[in-house]
Amino acid sequence: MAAEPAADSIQTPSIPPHGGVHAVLIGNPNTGKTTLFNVLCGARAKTSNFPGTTTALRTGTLKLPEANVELLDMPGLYDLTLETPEAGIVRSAMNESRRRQDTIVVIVDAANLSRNLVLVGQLLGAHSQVIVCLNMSDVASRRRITVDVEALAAKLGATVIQMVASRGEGIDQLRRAIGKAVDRRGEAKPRPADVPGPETPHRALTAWARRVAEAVTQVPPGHDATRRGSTERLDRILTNPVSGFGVFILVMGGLFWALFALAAVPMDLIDTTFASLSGIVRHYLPDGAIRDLLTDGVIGGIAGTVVFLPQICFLFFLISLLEDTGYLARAAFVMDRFLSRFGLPGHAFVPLLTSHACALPGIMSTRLIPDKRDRLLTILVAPFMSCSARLPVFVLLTSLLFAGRPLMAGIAFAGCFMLGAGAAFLSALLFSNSVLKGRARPMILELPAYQVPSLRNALLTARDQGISFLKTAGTNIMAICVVMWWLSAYPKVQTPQDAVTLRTQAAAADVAPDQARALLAQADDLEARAQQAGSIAGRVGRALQPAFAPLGYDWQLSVGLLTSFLAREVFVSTMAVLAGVGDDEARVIQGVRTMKRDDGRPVFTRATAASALVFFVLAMQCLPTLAVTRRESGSAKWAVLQLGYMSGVAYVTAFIVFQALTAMGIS
Amino acid sequence: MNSVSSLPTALTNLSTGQTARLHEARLDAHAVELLRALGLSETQPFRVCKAGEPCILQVEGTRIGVSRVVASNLYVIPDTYAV
Repeated sequence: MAAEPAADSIQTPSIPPHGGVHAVLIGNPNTGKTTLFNVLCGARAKTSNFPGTTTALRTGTLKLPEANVELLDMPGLYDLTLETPEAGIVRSAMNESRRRQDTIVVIVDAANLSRNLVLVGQLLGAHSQVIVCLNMSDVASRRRITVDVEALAAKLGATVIQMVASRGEGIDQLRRAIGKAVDRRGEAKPRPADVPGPETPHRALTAWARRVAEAVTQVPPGHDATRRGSTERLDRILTNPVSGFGVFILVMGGLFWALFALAAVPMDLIDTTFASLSGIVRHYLPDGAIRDLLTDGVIGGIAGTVVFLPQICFLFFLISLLEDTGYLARAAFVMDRFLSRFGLPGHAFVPLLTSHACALPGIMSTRLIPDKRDRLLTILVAPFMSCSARLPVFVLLTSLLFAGRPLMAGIAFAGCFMLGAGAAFLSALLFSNSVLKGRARPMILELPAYQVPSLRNALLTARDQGISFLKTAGTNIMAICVVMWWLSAYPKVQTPQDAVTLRTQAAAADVAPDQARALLAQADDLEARAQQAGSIAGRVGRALQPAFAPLGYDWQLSVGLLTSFLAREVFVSTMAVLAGVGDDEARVIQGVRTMKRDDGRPVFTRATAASALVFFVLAMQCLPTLAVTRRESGSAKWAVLQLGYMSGVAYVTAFIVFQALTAMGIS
Repeated sequence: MNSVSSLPTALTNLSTGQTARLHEARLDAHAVELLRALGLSETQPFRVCKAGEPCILQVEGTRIGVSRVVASNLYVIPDTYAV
């Protein structure tokens, strides 16, 4: 149902139009704005940032008979006058919009009209073409609230369309109304005399909104539309310290189980596909630098980026579903009690938990946190949470530390996770008292109505976040991968004499095929070890070794640390190469355990293994994370601080562990 | 049923089901603005849906959750009902 206003008196100033045809979608949070945008633009939407900010701006093309209209989706906000960074960005965008004479589509919650009309009032005073979408009319009906659409249009002097965006009801009327508004662009729009102006004080604006809402809304006598028994019962359970925490554990456990279960299949597929692609290129191209660059550098770099994509897409898909249900706002309160002690906001629980899977989506999900200081603090400490990439390193080092004692190895393994989480919380406390002084903003949140989540919204969110990751962080990650490959592959070293001998033996006529294969594998290992040691990374590792000597590391372990800056799991493959073993897990552990230093002593004593374990729990050791931190924080300085701080903490703690164990005679 | 106003008290002193109006918010400007934008003002009655941590308020069609720190700094005038 749509209603046009009756002609009246007040005129808005007319400015000559320029540029393309735009419409702006704006509204309070939790009014179904994202759903409406997705219904209107769907797969044609693009996500970018407002220029010079990290605030996301979604745009999409609305194809109408009158024109192709570029629809801009503003971040949800209650009030244009709020002093928040997002409100400031929206104010600037709306000023630009007024200059362009855009059509303004403001979406309001039909069941909560009075509060939503405050924003409408602010927009009516400044823009000539305003369309009001009276969304969630189905919810209003269930609460026995009736809104007189024509009366509302008359009171506002604007077109009002009744709709249920989630069911597509009212969309055709809205498209027609936007088309008409585009045709009338630049025409002065009559407004009723009592419609607020841009300078109307907030108190007067609120009073006007209440008057209008009361005049057009009807509820049956004696009925209290604000009482919602089932919502109140659910809220009591979900925000209770005991039952709320229990539900939280179940929901988050389910989320991460689903994340791992769903993402594992495409991740394996990506690994296999890129390995096959690399094999094909290796097969058809002649031996040489170009082939190595393509297979190990470019294909390896793309694989190293794309492999994160399933986790990122599934995570945002699941978070979007959860957010739509209204549960996340309740969960934030459950965690706020604990996290606020460390200066972190309740909202930080999703990024911190997600970082246990991978810090990349964890840091990206800090977009849920409304306050900039709280968001930065969470980004800074999130990589301390032990991610899945650390697992192979933990397995290797705990096996070295507690050989033949699986119980102790298991306890040490669990201890790694606790040490990482403890470091995150203590670091948050430290940052709260230094570079990000202050406390987490006390929680004030609207608790949205519980509802069935939108699959379409979740799919589009996952797609947008995936594309955004590939476009920005992904390109940096690939460049880093190529550079790190080059550092560890060049300059090419001469084939060791032992490898040449082994190959000659393998080629002899009297050698059985199995034995020949074993000899060739041994020759490959020797060559790889010589290449690793002679590469730039290997030489830098040797040069840096004196700096790592206080931690008990020889040059081989130093090379392992250096190459693992690419990604932690690279440590295991580097050590396997240096130990001269393949990639079979049992052989790697055994081979690394028997590695010798140049003076014949073992590389890994218990003190060295414990020191390396602590180092890997606490160190950054993940360049892709740095790229994402830089992007999400909007500045390289936070990425540099994160790298420097985590490396410093890891170094000092590993030093203390090694020196203490050595002093106690444990080696 | 007529409502009679009493003296201002911290929101934390109200129990579930009580209605009141905001008297004073001893919070930073950002928090005060946000509460106002959510509809909590001196002129608007609200109902306590859940006391404790968090405290949940119903202001017209909006449900607002506030942490105990916020609730202890919100001074309200409870409505006492006389039949």
